[in-house]
Amino acid sequence: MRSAAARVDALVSVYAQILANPGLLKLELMMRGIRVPDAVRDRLNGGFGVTGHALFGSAGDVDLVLPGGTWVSVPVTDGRMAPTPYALDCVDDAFTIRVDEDASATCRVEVRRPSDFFTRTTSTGIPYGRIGTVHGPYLALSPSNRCTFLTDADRCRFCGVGQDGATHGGVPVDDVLEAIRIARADNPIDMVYLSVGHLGTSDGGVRFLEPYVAAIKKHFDILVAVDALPPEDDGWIDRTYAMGVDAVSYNLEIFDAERFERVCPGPAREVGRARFLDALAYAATVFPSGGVTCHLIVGLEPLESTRAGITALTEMGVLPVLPIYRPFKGRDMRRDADIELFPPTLDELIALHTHLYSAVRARKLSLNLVRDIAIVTTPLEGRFFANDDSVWTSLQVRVMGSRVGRRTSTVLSDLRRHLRVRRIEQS
Amino acid sequence: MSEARYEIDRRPILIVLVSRLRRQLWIGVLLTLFFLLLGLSPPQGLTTAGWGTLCVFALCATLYATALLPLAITSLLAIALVPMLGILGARETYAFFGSKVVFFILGAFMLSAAMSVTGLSERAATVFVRRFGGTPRRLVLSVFFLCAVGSTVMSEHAVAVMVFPIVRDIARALDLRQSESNMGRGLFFGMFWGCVVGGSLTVLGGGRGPLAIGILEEATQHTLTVGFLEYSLFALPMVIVLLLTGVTLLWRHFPPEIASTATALAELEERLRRMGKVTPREGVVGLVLVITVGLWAVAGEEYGLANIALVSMAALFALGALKWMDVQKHVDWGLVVMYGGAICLGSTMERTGAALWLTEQVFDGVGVGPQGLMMLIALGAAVATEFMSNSAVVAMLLPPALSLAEQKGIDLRAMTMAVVLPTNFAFLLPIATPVAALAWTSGYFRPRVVLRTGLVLNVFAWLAMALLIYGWWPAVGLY
Repeated sequence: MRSAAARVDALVSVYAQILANPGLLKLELMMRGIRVPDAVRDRLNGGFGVTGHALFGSAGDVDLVLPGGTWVSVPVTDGRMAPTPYALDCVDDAFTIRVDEDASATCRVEVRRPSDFFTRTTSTGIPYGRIGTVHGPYLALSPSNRCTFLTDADRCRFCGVGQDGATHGGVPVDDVLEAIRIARADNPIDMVYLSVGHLGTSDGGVRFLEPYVAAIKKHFDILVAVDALPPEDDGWIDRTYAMGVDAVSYNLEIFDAERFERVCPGPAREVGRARFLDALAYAATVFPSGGVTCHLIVGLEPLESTRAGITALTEMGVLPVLPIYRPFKGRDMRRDADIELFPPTLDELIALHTHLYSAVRARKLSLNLVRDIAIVTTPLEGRFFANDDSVWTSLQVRVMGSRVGRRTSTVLSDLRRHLRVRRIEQS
Repeated sequence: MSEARYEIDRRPILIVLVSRLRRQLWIGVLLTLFFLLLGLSPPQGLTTAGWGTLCVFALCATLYATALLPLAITSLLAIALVPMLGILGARETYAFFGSKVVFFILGAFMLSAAMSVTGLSERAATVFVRRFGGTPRRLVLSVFFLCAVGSTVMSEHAVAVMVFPIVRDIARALDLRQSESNMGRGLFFGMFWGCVVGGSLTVLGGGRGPLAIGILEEATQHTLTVGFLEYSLFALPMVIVLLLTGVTLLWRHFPPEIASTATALAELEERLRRMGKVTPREGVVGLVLVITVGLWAVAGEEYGLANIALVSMAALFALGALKWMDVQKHVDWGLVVMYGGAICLGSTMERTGAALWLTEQVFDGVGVGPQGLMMLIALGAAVATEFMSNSAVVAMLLPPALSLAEQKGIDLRAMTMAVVLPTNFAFLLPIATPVAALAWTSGYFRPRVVLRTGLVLNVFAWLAMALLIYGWWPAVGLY
């Protein structure tokens, strides 16, 4: 049996390791949150506590930039609901993260003030914060949060959309453009994520999103990603790409078939797991490498199942993204007695992300289109777990993340579409 | 609701890139070769200006042949390159574009537009077919002769565009199956051949005739030309041979499988009923057309074909039969530009001695007499026209052919006719002429049938050319 001193030493060693690894630190902060003492809170000048969009689970977060340019959106907690060892500190206008158990372990971070986006409203009076969210380089917009699965029987158990009864059926295109302008004014955004729920149509929301995508591509040099449900016919996937979408997500959420049906009853019945996988496989032949992603929520199924999902998806050319289930985000599932949760330990998460990074690298999937997302750990950040933070990798990440790199990425993506897409008929 | 459909090219991106940029890559290769050649010293017997012209000619001939650029743009490029390379002065070069032939073509296009816009051409076609299409065989032949006659006063392309929907409606009314109907094939082959053969008879059948005459006039400093009636006279036996060949082929190869044309005639009757009575605009256009063709025939030399055409146009506008918007929509402005540039290029070839030098190199030591040489060049024109626009063939082939004729003492007008007439022998491939392309879209054509009948027509056309060169032209005093 180890002595108390030895346990403290071990703990100190672990925290030193976490604070030195941006990937680990991001995971820890996302899972455990951070405390912001009142004295520091005053210095933040509105740096957190903004009213974000429930769909993206960003209410009351503080956006931090960790070493290596790693963005993270950290839930601020008072420590009562979810105890956290991490606290934000401020000395001479320099912010650091410190750990209660180890006063010597600190990590210098940058705190980003919330975008003006959250203080503005659309032409129809809807706060922009209700149709989307901005966290650093990550801009997600939901032109409509209607979804036929929002009834009790069909709702995805983790989904918090419309719980307050506020839904919007279709934001004017000009408002979406204005949202992007506002968000880009104070953040280095090079990709906008458009999300749409199940609209009850066979096209997976393509027709609904088309005017938004067309307008965005017309007015901005920016990449567009769409988060939707798979359409019934693969022709709509072709059209999704043709209309200007650079990356697409069909989020299966749960790889295990039985749990998928239980957690996502609407999509399981109306779309079906097989169609999710078929659509993902087909999309991977249409979109550029790394342009097709699929969320697998960690913590809602056994890790082995998530791991199998990672393997299956990467083999078909799909990039898995692993959001970690956090009960204080979206809808709190802890009250659902029939849903078993599998909260992962840090070691398990490290192993999972290492596997993800290796699988993605083995398939040579590009990681460029899924980067700088503050609210999930991206596959690119898996390099921190796989000890692949070599000079060459760092240089690649830096170049692709630079202004020139991001601009080049947009131009090449548009060029690829121009070359590959041919309009064949109008009937 | 209309839905766009897309195809995603999944081949490796490098292959996609090359295939999508093939045109640009070829243009790049051509331009590189062009500038490399331009940098070489002129060969013996050729001036620097002549060498530059030859390089421009080679570039433009390749562009005409490959259609890497639209024909009109290639012509404009030629006009720009000549002064830029210091071959001729800008004023002189651009003045070639003011050729009266360009304005004659413009006038002919406007007249054709007037007939289409007012519906006169469609009415005439419908009446013609209804009048003569009493039996299945007569219906096929009436389409053939309608197109042949129509193409003597209108561009053959315009006639095909006008007659195609009528023939398509007839085929539908008779319930002719695309895959197996001889009657259907006969109708569309009749349209196709009629347009091509009839278009050879007059300078109005297409742009190539006026273009050839323009190049001839520029090459001879306007001392030689081919008149409206002369052109038809020189071409007449060939057209007769081809008409007879066409009738024979239609008769033998496409025996109709139906016994009655009653439903087709009813359809034409219904079409006429929908058109209503002849409108004053149609009457005015008809009258102006008759007067214009009459003047071209009897006073063309005295007043000039182009002048008559333009005055007729003014009359149509003055009488309210035509609006400028109609002209803008129906005139093929690209062809007008193409002819202007081609005339410029041809004239520059002549002025700088490039055409003569080229023909000397090509035909030096060819041991055939003047008529044999004409047959040889006619063969070249006939083969080339199966693969490229007939006007482009004229633009490419005529300037050196005229230089050769001058050198060998061949009558320049005869050489002009020997080049221009075979450029209409486009009986095989859909790329040869828009008429062929349109006929192919009917769905009644089968490559085997087109090849078999087209070859027969080509052979007879070739024999007819021999008849012209060895018998008819000397007989009518052309040389």
